Amino acid sequence: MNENPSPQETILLVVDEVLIRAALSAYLRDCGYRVLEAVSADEAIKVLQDEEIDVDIVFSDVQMEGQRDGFELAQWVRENKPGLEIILAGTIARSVKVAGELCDQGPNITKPYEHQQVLEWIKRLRAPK
Amino acid sequence: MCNDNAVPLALPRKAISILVVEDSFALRFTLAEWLRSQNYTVCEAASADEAKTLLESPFIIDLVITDVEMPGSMDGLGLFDYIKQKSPHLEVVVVSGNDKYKGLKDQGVTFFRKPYDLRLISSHVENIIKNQKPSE
Repeated sequence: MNENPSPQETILLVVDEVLIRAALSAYLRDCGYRVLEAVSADEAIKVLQDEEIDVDIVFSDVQMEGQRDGFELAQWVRENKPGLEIILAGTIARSVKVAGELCDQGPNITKPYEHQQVLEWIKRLRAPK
Repeated sequence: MCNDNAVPLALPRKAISILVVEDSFALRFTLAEWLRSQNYTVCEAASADEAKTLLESPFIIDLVITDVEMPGSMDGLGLFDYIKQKSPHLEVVVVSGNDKYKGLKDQGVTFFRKPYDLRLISSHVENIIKNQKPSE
């Protein structure tokens, strides 16, 4: 049984591989989320700095091209947006462990990830505590 | 509908799928959100290279709206030429803030000068779609 988010929650999806980003964002939109797509950690930070854009949760790959990777994005979030949930997805077990240390709800996700797995993490993080 | 057990390989065909190609997040986001609010399915690419990857994938794209000046191995005009070569019937709308491209209109290219009126864009999109799908 599916539980659509209400009111519409906003996910910032930070993935530099376009096919993965497009498929996952389509899936999450289909599940009722508003999804903002960022192609790099640098772009994600610009989004998060925009006071007119409310983001409820960030999902980011660890390895990305650009000045910052997912770890640095998580560090930035921790310092500048405390309380904002972030999920990191990495291909290497060690990087996932580090992601776990950066994110309160770690150890997060190893790649390749199933869309449903991402959805379950988002629901778990957004569930009332 | 969201199906927890399914991994979609392509965008649902319930709406027309538009690919927005724009390297500026703010512009890409604004146009994509506007088009979604008009019930279109929207796919986003931050460069012509990303757009090419999507166009070569199983994603269904009915219309492309592309900026011209973008980083990467090709710009929006390169993408336009690529599309016209590979999928000549796929409609492409070109947008740019640079006046030097407005002559594209004389070459039969649908062109909008940035900043554009979102309602004007969706009105043009609607006309294009109507002409693409005369009866269903």
